Amino acid sequence: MDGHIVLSAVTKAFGDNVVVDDIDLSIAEGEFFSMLGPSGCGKTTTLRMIAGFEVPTLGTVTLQGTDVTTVPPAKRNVNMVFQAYALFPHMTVQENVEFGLKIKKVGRDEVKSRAAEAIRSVQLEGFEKRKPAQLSGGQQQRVALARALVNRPAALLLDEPLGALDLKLRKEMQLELKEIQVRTGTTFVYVTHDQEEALTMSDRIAVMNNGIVEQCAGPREIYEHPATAFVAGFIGTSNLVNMRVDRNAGGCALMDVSEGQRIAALSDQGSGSLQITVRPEKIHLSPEGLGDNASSVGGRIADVVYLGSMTQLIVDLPTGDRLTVHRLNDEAAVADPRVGDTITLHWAAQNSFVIAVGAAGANGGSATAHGAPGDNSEREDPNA
Amino acid sequence: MGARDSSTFVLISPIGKRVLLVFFAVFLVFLYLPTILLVIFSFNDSTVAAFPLDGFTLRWYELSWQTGEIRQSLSASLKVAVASAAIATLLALLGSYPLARRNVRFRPLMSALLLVPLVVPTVVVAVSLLTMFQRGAIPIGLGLPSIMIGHVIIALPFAVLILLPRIASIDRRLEEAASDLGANGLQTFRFVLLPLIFPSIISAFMIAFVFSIDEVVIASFLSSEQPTYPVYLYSGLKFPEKTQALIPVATIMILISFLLAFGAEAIRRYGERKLEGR
Ligand SMILES: Nc1ncnc2c1ncn2[C@@H]1O[C@H](COP(=O)(O)OP(=O)(O)OP(=O)(O)O)[C@@H](O)[C@H]1O
Ligand SMILES: [Mg+2]
Repeated sequence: MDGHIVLSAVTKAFGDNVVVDDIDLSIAEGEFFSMLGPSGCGKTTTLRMIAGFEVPTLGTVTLQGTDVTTVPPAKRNVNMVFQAYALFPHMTVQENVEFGLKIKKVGRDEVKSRAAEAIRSVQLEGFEKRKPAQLSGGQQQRVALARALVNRPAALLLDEPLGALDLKLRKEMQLELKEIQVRTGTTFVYVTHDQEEALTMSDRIAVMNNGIVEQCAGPREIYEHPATAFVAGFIGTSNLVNMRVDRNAGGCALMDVSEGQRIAALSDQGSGSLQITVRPEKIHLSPEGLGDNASSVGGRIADVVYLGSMTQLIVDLPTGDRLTVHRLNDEAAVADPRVGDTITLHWAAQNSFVIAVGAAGANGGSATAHGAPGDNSEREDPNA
Repeated sequence: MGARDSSTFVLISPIGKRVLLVFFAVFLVFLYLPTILLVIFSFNDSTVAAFPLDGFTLRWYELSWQTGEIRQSLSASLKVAVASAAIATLLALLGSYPLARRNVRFRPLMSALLLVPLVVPTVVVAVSLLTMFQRGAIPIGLGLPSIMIGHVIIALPFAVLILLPRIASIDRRLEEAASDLGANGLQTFRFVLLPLIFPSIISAFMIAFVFSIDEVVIASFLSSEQPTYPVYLYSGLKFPEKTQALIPVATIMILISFLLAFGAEAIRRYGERKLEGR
């Protein structure tokens, strides 16, 4: 295989616990590559195998065409940005940034000029003499970045580098990181459990779950054409609906909610239950142009969030599920929805993405077993 | 009336509180009176250490400085203390590092072994070393080197107790970061770990030093011709004519011990704060 960083058939087990299960990844030079997945799915372990902190149980890791599977971290031309930064607390910003170059016995003048350049590129001029404890979280993050970038690594490995920052700073740093990545042309391997972050920054994303790669593709492909139910559930706002299947009409499973109201999904099921997700932007407030078997269901508005260009509605369905709906703020004609109002939602049957199928007669309750969006909840939820 | 006293002793009546205070004061007097008396007598212009005082003098300080035996025993004590503190600190460092890092087998057992000398009576250590050095497994005989080894043994646990928590408190990822940036094991130790634990190393050294400098039991069991200062002091007390020359040195030793014992903790804290710019 060619590629800048290649993992072939890599497995990592700690004792009996298989954490990374036979994965193949090929990362191109200059690519912004993200690994996305719920907590404990093996993202950090995979990154640490690329950095050299873990040796794969099986398989090989190749860097720039050289097999480095058992090469120690100090001898690999990649650098890591740790989640908690791991800055040397007793060294100043300057000393932290210079560390890698000094160890490599780079000449004095070059150390100075490269450190200055790295510090400038992360906009930390004037902070050279401070120690990490005297910096804000965002500034520490930049030092960690400069300390790695100054070595001009073949790839930068970032383990949830923005995880400790507040939302606003995180958004700023996302843009900055992307800008630095483009400007320096450095390959970024980026670990995150924040799907929004992965979607906005990456050239390609590997969605991981339970030690395997569920899908590896560009952000658009992953969002529009999820390869598995897990990916469909994990990416995007999680709009879960547990539907009871009452009948089937022409390849369309239907739940009759009440007179004239139904939920529809493309499926051969005629009974039992289905768990589906619907993207918020696919839900409409009018039935026009959605076809015969479109879902059409009334609900009560539980919350209205004004987001500028659009309004986010949280709607409670009679099924007990709660949907997030995005409505563009362009039609002045439609009255402003208010909490407590009843509203009818419509979406085409093909936009009901089936995540799980329940046996005939069973209720949809067990359908979450796949560990789709709910798994993310122990970490901070970007949509919260 | 003024605001009610908001001390933590809510369960204790005002009278009870006063009794406690008196008790505490008496306790302090008992604790420090002998020391204070010693300091006073070291400046007293009389050949007997007794009241009433006879005026101020520095002649006892002069006399002790001029007494060869005192100087020799002091120098012996210093040598033993410096050497044993250095060795105990080094051993504690070597022992603590693997223990502070996660994946060590039998870690509880290992820690226990390092700390056992803490609870073994010093006399027992002294007797066992005596038999071992005199004709036993390691017949190096008696004298300052043997005393030094004994002091290493009793000071080691204290040095470990100072170093181990500090090393454990240092994020392992700092070492990973260093090695990620190209540093080998030695460089990582030299440039990352050592600077961070240096205040604790100094502190451990000072505590070990204090332990050795006033240790009597091992020093007297294992001594040959040259006694350490505490041993010399003890034997000298049997001769009243020597006593006055001993008191000044004892005074100075007390002072140094106090300074070192309090200083060790202060240096450690100050050093760590300074190091991280806080
Ligand atoms: N050194 C280790 N020894 C044993 N188990 C480990 C070790 N490191 C990781 N694991 C286990 O491997 C699994 C995956 O861990 P990993 O850190 O790769 O997850 P992650 O995807 O990075 O999760 P998170 O988003 O929470 O950081 C976890 O169940 C973890 O407990
Ligand atoms: Mg992780």
